[in-house]
Amino acid sequence: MLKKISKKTLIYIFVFIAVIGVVAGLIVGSFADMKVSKELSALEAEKIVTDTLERLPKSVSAGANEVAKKTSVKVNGIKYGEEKNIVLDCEYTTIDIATAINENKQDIMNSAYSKYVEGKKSGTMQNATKIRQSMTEELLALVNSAQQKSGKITLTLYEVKKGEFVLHLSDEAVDTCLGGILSVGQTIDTMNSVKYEGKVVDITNNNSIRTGIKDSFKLVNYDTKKPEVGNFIVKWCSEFADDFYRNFIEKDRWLYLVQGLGTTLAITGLAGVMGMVLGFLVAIIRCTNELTGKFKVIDKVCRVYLTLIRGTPVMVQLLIIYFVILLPIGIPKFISAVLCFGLNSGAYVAEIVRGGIMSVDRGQTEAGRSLGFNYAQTMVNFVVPQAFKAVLPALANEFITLLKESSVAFYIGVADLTQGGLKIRSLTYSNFMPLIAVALIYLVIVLILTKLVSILERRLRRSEH
Amino acid sequence: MSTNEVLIKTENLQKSFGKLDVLTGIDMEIKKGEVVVVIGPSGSGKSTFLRCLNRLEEPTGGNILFEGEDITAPKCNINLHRQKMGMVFQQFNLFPHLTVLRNLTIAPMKLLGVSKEDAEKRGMELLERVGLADKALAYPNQLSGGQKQRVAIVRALAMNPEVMLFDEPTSALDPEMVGEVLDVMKSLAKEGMTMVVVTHEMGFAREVADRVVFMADGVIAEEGAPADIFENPQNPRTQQFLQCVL
Repeated sequence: MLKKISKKTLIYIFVFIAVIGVVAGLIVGSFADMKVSKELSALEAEKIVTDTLERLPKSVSAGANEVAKKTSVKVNGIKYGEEKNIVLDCEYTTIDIATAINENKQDIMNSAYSKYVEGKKSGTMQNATKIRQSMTEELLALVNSAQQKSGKITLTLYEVKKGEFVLHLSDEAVDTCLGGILSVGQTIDTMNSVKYEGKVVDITNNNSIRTGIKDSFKLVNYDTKKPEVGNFIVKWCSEFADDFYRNFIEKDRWLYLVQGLGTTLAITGLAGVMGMVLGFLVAIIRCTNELTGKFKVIDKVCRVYLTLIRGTPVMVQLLIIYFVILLPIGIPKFISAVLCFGLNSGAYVAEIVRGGIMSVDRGQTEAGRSLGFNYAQTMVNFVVPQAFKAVLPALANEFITLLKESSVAFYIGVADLTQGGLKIRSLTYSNFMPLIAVALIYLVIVLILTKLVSILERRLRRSEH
Repeated sequence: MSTNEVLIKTENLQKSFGKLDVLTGIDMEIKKGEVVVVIGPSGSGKSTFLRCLNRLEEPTGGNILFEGEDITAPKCNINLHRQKMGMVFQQFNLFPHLTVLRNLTIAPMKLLGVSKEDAEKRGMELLERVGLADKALAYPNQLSGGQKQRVAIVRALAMNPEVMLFDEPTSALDPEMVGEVLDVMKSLAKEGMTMVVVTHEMGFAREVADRVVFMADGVIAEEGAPADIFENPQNPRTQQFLQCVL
């Protein structure tokens, strides 16, 4: 026995094991090697944090820029983590801009409104930019008079590339270090009225004043997501997990696929049964005509049916059957799809079965007839069962084709498996996950069907040996 | 064994395939209990003649009377007559998807309305008679050629036919299996079954036949008792044929 395994086979096995080992090693290694590549001094860390915070305000956001300038972070302790990260124990000093704005919000708005009205009187167009510019000095003064504030915070740096560290800008980190600057916008948004010349003026509909002031404290879009670390394998894995979560788990999106699969199976099953019945009928009619010359007219009809169905794409048939024939008389999509695929499958089944019937030895018919069975009895008892056995693999293939072809049902809006995938795709803007998932589900179903058919085939064949 | 009652009678029976005339007018009477063996060179139309008797081939001319009724008449339901005319084929033509026993019982049950128990009882008797009772639940493809042909014979017998038609029943068999099939046919003949046998087994013809019919070129060239035909053939074609095969 051992001699039978040739050297060549052994080499293949060895190479196979080696490849698996290398791949597994790479993956495990990537996840295991998650320490930072170099250590940082407190000063270096401080510089990264300060630079990042200073870059956050928009260049035109004078208020925010001033806050950032008045902010400093001191690193007291450094800990190295297991995610290519460095945890910094920090002490920050900043100004309490949130309180300053909150306490003076009415004054700011009143002042902004009066400048707005004056500007209008002088004939210049007033918009958010103009308001922001005219308020700059006032707001800077406010910032300068704001209370100092200090405290402790833990910040985290991630090594995204070798030697390159990035501060994780969580909402908490940004808001705390910059004196509650994130709440400024919300505070201003609550201001709907101002006092002007002793009267209360409603400015609910005047957005430019609020926007102008908010813009002064605006930060450039920052990503609250954790920076991605590790080599491409780790990144790919975490991205994959994220994608998977977003496409299937979040908001129970997997249900689209499950419900779609149900619809697909229902369409395929019903259409398959219809196709079988129709196909066998047509095949028997055509064979009878071929062998006995009966049913001449029906045979012609059958031929037209076969030509039409086999000569046009199933997608076009579906569109015609639904939009041209069935929609006008109020037949629902699902039933239309079943009818269309049933008709379509019937044509192919008919030709398969006809081939099967013709392949049954003539002697079988003669034996049946010689015993006194009439033509129909002979067909039913002797010819068709044998033909069925002969064409079973081909019929199974046809059924599998039908399952796959039913995916065009989405075109008339049937919520089948393909449609489920497309729905997820339109919600998450991902392509990879939903489409690959749909493909895999089809594949698994096809493999299961193939296996079932081979079992059935073996069982049928056993009866002949 | 034969009585005087005529079971099958053909009158000027003709059959042509397109322009090819295979039978050019056959008149024959087959009496009840008679064993008629049809011999002749290949292409002489003997198989076609046999197959015309139960209209597996549609005759193109002439009449066939079976039990006095014209079975070539358009109104005649041939299926009812075929139930009384058993046929055995050269290629056995057993139903491969049915067990041996089911091969025997399906026709009586579905055509004669015999109950399952009765049909199976009779089937087992028939199988025992040809020594194949142990194969009742086997499928045809598990049997040897000789066994298949014996099953085919009892399948026809299960319908209790009036006449048995044999179309070269031993031609497709290995030589060592011919004997077992011929033995069954001999015992059938002894019991008084009416038989029409197309065969090349001259020994069988000589031993069993009541009458030997020599066919050539679509007509009956010569017929008579086996002793006369084999020992003292009159027609030169018969002489020539027998010289070749004996």
